[in-house]
Amino acid sequence: MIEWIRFILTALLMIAGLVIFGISTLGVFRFKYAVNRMHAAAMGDTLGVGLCLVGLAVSAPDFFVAAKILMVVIFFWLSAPVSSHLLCRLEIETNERLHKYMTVHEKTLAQEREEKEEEA
Amino acid sequence: MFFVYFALWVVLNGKWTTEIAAFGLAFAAIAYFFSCRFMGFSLKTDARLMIRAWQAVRYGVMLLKEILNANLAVMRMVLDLDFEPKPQLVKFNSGLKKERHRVVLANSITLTPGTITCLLEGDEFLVHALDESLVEGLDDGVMITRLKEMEAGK
Amino acid sequence: MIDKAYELLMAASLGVMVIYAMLCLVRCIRGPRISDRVLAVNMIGTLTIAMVVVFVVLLGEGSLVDIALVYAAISFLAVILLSKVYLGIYKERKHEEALLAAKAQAEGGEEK
Repeated sequence: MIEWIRFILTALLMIAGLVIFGISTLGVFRFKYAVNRMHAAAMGDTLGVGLCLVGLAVSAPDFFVAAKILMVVIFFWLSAPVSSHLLCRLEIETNERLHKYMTVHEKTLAQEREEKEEEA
Repeated sequence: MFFVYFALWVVLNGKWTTEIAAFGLAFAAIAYFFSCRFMGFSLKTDARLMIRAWQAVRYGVMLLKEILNANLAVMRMVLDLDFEPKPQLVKFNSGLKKERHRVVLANSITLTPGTITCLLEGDEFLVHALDESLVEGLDDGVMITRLKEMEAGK
Repeated sequence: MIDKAYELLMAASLGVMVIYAMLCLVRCIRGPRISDRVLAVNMIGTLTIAMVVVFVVLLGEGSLVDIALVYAAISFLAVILLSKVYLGIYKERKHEEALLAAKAQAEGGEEK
């Protein structure tokens, strides 16, 4: 009985993870520009891989393997932001026509809010 | 830190026997001595970290919730096929004093889908957001208030 | 019964992941910019880690998790290295262009 519960839990989490991977792959094809695509890929990087690996850890052969799988998740979540930050920085610094692809705000957010308040 | 090393050793070994535990204690002690000697850890900072560990756990739970919310938002954007995102590149000052907290904030911003930190110089963050609605909670959202609380309450 | 169900689930998820990886490969080949390609490679790495962990449960082989851990480390390192190298190349090219422009200007000044 308990094995079936484990199986169903694993199946649910893995299917959710696979659906999120699918949506992020769709996003990678749908969006027009590299940095927008990066947001879609970040979705698969965080929640997709997290759900898949937690689901697999539920039905791992023994306790230490499950702990190791969770360690993979933690390592991945620590390293993924660094790599996507560097990629984004590469894109921002090498692209000479940034204004074509996004709205660039020159002022900080706090300053913009103050100006809006003054206008109102 | 000693316990972290020990747990890492045991988990990577994948078995629990007396031999492994004894070797683990020895190697964890060596690694702890090394990190005290060369990386600026000490018993005093460790004690402070232990006291603040529950704060870190609370921050982690909050971060998980944020990641879930942002994932749902970005998923809705991807699945809505008529929707065309309006990407924004915004700047803001965090007001955090310590380098460590700034790095944690930058990593959390990048980890939530929909926002990526591009540059972090001094106190100025340059953040790319997928849409206007995602810019809202950047410089006065939950994460930054929690970090400020952590900074004030030490 | 349960073994059969596990095999079916794992085989199905492996197939789906392979399809996603192939789609990412298409993006990697088509990507107009360098960052698109690096991004697609990163996604393939993520999918590969998930696949390796699927094999852990499918074969009941605990030692494969270490491979997943090392793979995560290596794909992280690869992305960082690629983006750093391309940033360096871009800056070098900019520098050379600036030098050439300065030289051309100097020559133009002499002719006048």
